[in-house]
Amino acid sequence: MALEPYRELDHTADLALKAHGRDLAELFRNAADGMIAIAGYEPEVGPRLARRLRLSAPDGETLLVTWLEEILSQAEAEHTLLQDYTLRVKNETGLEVEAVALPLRRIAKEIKAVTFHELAIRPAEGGLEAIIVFDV
Amino acid sequence: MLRKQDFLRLSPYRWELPRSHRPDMRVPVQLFASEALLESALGDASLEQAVNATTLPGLVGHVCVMPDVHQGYGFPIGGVAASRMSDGVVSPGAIGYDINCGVRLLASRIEAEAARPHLADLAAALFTNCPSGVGAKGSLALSTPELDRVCREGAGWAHRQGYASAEDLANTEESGRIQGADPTHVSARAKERGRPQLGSLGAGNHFIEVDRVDEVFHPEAAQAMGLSRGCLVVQIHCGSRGFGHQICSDYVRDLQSAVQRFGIQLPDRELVCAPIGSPEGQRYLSAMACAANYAFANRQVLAHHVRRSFEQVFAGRLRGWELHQVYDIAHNMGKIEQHTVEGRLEQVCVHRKGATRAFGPGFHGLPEAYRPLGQPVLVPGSMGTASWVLLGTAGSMQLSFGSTCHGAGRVMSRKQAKRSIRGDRLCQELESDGIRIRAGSLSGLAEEAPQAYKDVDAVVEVVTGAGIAAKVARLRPLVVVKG
Repeated sequence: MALEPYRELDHTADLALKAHGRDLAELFRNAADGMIAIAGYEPEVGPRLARRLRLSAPDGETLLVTWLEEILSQAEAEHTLLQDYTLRVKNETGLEVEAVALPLRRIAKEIKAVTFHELAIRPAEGGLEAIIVFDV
Repeated sequence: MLRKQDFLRLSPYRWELPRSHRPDMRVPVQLFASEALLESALGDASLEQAVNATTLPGLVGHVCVMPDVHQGYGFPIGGVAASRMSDGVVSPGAIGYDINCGVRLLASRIEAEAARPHLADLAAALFTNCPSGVGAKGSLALSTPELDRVCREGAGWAHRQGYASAEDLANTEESGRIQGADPTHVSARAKERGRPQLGSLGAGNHFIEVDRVDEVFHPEAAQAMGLSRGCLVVQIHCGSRGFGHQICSDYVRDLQSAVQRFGIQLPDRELVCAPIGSPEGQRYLSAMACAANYAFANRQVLAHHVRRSFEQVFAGRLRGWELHQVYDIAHNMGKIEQHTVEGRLEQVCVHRKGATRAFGPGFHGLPEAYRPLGQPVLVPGSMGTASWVLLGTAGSMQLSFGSTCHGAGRVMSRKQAKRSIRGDRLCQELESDGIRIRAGSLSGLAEEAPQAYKDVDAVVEVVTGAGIAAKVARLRPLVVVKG
């Protein structure tokens, strides 16, 4: 059976999702897809601008938070949505992203932040998993 | 897994979970709750999160948990923890992402009955004049130097720009300005997010609500606050917008490595912290003060737009439409305060996350009219239910580091609320109860339905029964504006 890329979990006040991936790059990609889906980010037809990002962090969890925060803050500050991303993870501490930035049409739900609450990248059947809690 | 029998009942509304519950607890947990609210709190992870919070170094007394507690991330919403200046820590996650999220109350002398024919116009004017919604831009676009001035001056900046009166500043916690703000400790990305958003409400549980004073319980305090039974008042609930969210995110991420350097062991990475006196701790506190001051200015600019709306709708039609500020309080904040610890007056850093400062009578930081009474405390309910105006008490100084509850507290997840409640039906139900709703999103409205929250009256019975607040007045909603 194919791995479920992500699933929204119940949380009293905030939002949470569980993401899976065969490796870190796929986990990071699925976590980003899940966050974009539950927040209802919708791109607009418009110029597709190439974006390259290099992110670094002391460990895999911090790198995951940094990546997701980058999407959130670009959406709010620049009104652009990163899409079609290709991710390369280096030694759990470096992330290279090639993506396109599209104009953002709508955000259905405000995510204030990506939290570290109970965040751990764990081995799971078929690869890796992580539960991510978002402050809304 | 915590059970009811793990708690010792200290009084009808106060329970203690002793340090012996878990070896890494540094202080006990004290919960303010009725039996029913204790059982409700055991339904999610909020009390486990309170236990985790007790492991922060340098805590004094106990971690307090308010009756409106619910599960958050790291630190529960409705939690209070005080750390010693000498060996304690400051934890950004124990203050929250929406730094200085808070409530402002404005009061008029308009009789609600006389205003009723104009309430649809008022709802429309508030929705038009007060920018709301996800990522909403405010009415002002600030340059970076101007934003830096907002960071340093808070509501005082709004006063200089003509958005506030001197009375507004006097009737705001800390006079609308936290000292020690240093914008050089705020990231460029936070400033980029903060520049366009000043004077905006945002989304989620933030709102502007027009209420009727339904019942007065403390006539002397109500008179001092200018609250008359049957008259219109306005609550503004919002915080520091993307500016505060980014500042907290930056510091929670950056302090991850600091805890390792300081050798601090934590059960949850969201509780990340730094010693108060360390360069890291001081940098966070100065950046947090920037966000807090931004939030004070934000609510002040929104208050200006609310006043404009009242003028547009009521001027020439009804008398007494001018709105005076009753008070403005923060419920997500870290504050350096003096409290009695083991019989001695000590300076501590009080973390309040979803808890309101509730200083008792005699506190010098209060305006003269309130000083003999205690600090006004504003407790919004959920749409369709009551909100409360309370007073801080001598009891709150003794039992809860001068703190009390901040709202009703959620019981239902957003996912469950969306599954079980339809926004359009909810809107119709509230309208049929005489409550005018203007909301940017129906699904967002469903998530904030009254059924998703605890009974605010039961929460208020606990805090007043426990002696950490006193009732002044109950408010009933007439108009709700949400992003």
